[in-house]
Amino acid sequence: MHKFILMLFLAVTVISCGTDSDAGEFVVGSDYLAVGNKVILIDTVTVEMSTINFDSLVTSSQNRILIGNYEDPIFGKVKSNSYFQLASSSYALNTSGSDTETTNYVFDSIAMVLKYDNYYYGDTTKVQTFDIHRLTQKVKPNTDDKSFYNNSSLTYSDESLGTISYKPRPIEKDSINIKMSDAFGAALFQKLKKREITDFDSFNEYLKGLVLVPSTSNSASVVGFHVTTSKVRLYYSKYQGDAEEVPFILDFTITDATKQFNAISSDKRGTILENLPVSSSKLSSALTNRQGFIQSGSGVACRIDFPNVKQLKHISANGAIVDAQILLKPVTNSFSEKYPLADSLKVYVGDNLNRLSGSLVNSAGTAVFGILNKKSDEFNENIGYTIPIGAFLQKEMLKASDSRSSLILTLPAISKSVNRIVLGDQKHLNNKIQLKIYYISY
Amino acid sequence: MKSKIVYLSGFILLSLTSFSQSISSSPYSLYGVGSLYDADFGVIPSIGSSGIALPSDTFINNLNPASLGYLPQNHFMFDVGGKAIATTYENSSKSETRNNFQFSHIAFAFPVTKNSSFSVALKPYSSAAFKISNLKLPIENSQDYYYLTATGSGGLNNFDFSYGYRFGKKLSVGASAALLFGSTNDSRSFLILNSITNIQKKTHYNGLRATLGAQYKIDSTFTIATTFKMPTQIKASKVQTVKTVADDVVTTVESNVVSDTDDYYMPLEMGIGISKRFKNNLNMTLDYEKSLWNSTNQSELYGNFVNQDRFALGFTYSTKKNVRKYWDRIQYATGVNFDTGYLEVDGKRVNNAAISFGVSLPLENTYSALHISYSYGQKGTISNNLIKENYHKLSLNLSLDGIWFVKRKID
Repeated sequence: MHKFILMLFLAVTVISCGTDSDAGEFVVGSDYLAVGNKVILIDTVTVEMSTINFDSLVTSSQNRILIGNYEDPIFGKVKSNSYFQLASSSYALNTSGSDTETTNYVFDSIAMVLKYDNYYYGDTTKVQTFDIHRLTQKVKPNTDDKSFYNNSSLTYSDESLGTISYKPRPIEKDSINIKMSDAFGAALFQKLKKREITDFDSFNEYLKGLVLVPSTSNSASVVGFHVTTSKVRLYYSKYQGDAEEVPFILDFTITDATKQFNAISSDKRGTILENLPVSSSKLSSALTNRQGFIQSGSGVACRIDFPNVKQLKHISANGAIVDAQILLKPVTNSFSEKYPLADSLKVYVGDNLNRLSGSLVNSAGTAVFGILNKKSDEFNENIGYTIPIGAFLQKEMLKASDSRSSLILTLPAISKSVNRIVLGDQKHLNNKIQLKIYYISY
Repeated sequence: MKSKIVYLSGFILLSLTSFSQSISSSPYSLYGVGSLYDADFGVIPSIGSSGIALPSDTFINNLNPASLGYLPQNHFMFDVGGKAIATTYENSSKSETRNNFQFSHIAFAFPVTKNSSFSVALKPYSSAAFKISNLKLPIENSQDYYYLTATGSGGLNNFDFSYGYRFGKKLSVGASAALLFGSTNDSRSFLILNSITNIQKKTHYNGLRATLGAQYKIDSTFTIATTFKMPTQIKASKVQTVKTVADDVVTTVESNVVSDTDDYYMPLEMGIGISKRFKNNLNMTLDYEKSLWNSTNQSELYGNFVNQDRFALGFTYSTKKNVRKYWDRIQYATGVNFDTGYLEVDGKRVNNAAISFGVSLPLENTYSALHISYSYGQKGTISNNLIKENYHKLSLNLSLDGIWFVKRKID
């Protein structure tokens, strides 16, 4: 009998390890769960907003011919000229035949073909006009460095080598074709035919470069074209008496991206941003109707400061800030189909003098962006850019020195586009900036 | 006798190995120091956990130390038990059944003098095992939510020393000291926005609690009894580690920081009970116990505690026609138990009601018996997000009786 009982207990004891596992789906008292560890949202921390202006942006090597101008209701007049140097793979006319045949080649025409790269900003239903001018100086940076800036310029002759007035179709169409001056084309053809131009140096000496200059009178948009596939095409043919002429072409392209740049200018006279200070200073949102501004191309950027960030240390005595995000809302009516919102914001960390120390990064050191929340409701109240700033605030909070970093917001293609955005600050009536800091007590 | 000792040591070893693991995982284990075990000895599980007025004459009565005054002279008693429980957890939308097996207790009792005895018992007191998966909870001061995943484990143990002394034939008094000790582990992960915060907390408890008891025989069939469990403070201290994970990078906020935490208070509990025998083979036990949890002013960390009432009624029956016939020596038992509970969750009490049936199978010609008890009970209610637990519980208690200090006449 004892043995039997012993076995029974042994079995029970052994089985006790095999208790059914608990999936954790049955919970009582959710209020009680918050007693030990409270999760709290802090949304009352002060956020300051201001607008700054970068000195200059590098616009060479951006692989975009940006051309056009438009008058922005908020930012004033924006204009982009595009400068570039041309080159060809060959500087000889068709050499398949003998030398004697060269004399039979005749010039037909010359044209510029610009391939849309799908970028545009402004009203493309209006006619855009621009002229092609010949540069009178080589495409060479003035200073020691190798770049051109949005405020760089080169001299060019007044004479137009070609002009176009067209309604841009950057999405529907592939390219535009601009007929260029026959006199210009014929002269170039003769130089080639006479073997006065045989290599890049002699070509570049003759044709230093071209600039596309938009007309200020009737343009309402800015359009982007491909650098690598756009070209100047020279058409010529072989004259063979009564027989049909054989056509030939010679293409000149932008082979060196560093020798192409866009001069993007902005005329803010009469706008709210008229008094934008020098690049190391800032214009508080208190002076600009509770708004902060960003405009690509012209170098206008929005700066965000957290003046009380050090005080967060006090609330975290018995808890920790685990995450934080900032929601920036574009001002209602500052964007439309014509002036669309970018999908993301680029975020940099800067010092008090707007010197950038790098991109805003997360805990893992990966750059983070402001991502547009597209869930729109009737009043567009939820449209905004969300930036995760948990790691940034934790670092700022614990920083030993008194210096504070700020966030500097730009649009992603700052050097090759003219998009802009208007954001509300913390006291803006309808489009308040929201700072959410998540805190847990332990 | 020699083989008995071998068996006993075997029991003890096996029991102790499974002792430390807490295996019940009731959602209510979140509160207090966990959900309490009912670890009653001998026949008590069969009679609705009643029996304050029963003597420790055939088994060790754990409900009243005064019962030890009736331990038969020269007898050594040993009690060990285990339970198999199938619980169905049910809320307004779903239900789930889980089985578990638990060690119940191990105890010894032996006489000190002709009319006094001493007992030692070791039993689990509470289980803090629970699990929460991805529970959506509101963030204070906002419309936002966070998600909680948590597991609890561990619990408290009870090491109990009791002594009972009998004055004459009618009055017996007793006292016991219960050492409550153990630790609970609580690991919680908070998914807040894009970060995960993990808080791991181990809380150590220890405290001592005294129980006083008395039994008075009005006549040979009728006994009244009372017990007083004294209020006490169970000291608590915690070791905590807090880590946050953001973008797959782990940051340790604090690591193994030792600090005091709110102590756990146990209330004054007063019980009265009667035992009455009818016609020499039917015995009735009736108990009432009141626990004054209100006056403990328990920290909200442990939940909301309220005064508790417990009622227990039980009957045992044996034919006792022919003590030589095995079937006639089997004792049958039944009981009911109602308990208002000491916990209030979202304004609702977590009460418990159970009905039990059992048989006691005698072993050999001593007081040794195997007590088998089945009970069915319900705990909690389905309302206000509370959970109802329906459970089927099978208890096996082995009460062994050895005669000491008497030489066997025939071997």
